[in-house]
Amino acid sequence: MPIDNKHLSPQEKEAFNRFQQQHQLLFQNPLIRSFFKQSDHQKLLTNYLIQPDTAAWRALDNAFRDYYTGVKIVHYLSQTLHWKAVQFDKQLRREAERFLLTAGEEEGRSYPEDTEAGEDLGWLENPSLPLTEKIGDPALLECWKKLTPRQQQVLHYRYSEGLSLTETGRILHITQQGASKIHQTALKQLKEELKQKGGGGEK
Amino acid sequence: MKEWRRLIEQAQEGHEASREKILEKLEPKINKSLRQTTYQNREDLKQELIIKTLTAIQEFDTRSVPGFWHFVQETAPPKAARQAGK
Repeated sequence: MPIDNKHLSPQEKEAFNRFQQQHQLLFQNPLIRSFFKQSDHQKLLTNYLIQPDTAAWRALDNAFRDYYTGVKIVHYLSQTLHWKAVQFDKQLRREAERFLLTAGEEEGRSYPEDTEAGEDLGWLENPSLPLTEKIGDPALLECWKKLTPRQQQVLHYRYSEGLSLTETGRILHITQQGASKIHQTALKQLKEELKQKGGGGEK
Repeated sequence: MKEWRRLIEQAQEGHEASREKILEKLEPKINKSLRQTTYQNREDLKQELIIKTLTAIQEFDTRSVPGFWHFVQETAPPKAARQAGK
């Protein structure tokens, strides 16, 4: 789906489209797409394209950095707070079970996924989101995007949340062995992709 | 989304109003997470989540966030760039 840029002047529109054409890979990145959904961000890019000076270069760069910082922290905190709350409750129930005789059968109780992110951040909650808090290396990010959502989830819980494979499995309703398998394939795949990309970085 | 970087940096420098603003922005998130536990435990959980939030903010390295041109460069078609062996 193309980025809506109808408020730009014909000249700006042309510059914007040309840039997009030349950077197709870039525009596949959901972060970039989401950044350019805002008309003032499109404007910053066209300003630079039409008059490429340092000020315009920096203005765009900074606006992006501001935006990305917000996205990162909101995403990170959403995950972290949710997880912290789940842990907190689990801990309390474990204690209650230990001290009280009847804790009540609370098995089948599921934790609804946190989906309403508010603002225009719906895409952030998408498990296939290529941003994990810890991936700073764009080459790795590229490889990460090629993983299946399931693989990304496992890696996320494992490394971003620091859970064990057993816990990860429980969240995803699979066995520890299942999680382990997904985990291994994903790592192997990442490694190979990275190697193909030109051997840089030993991670 | 835009003000986060400024807020985080100011909060890290001890600016109380920025911290409050951050918590205010995250309040819906926090309240939502409270539903994970029973009613009588929510106040405790809320405290925990606030602490967690502030710690995360304190530890967040805003300088590590890449800018736009970094992304452009990294996704540029592999021209002669780092092609060593012709």
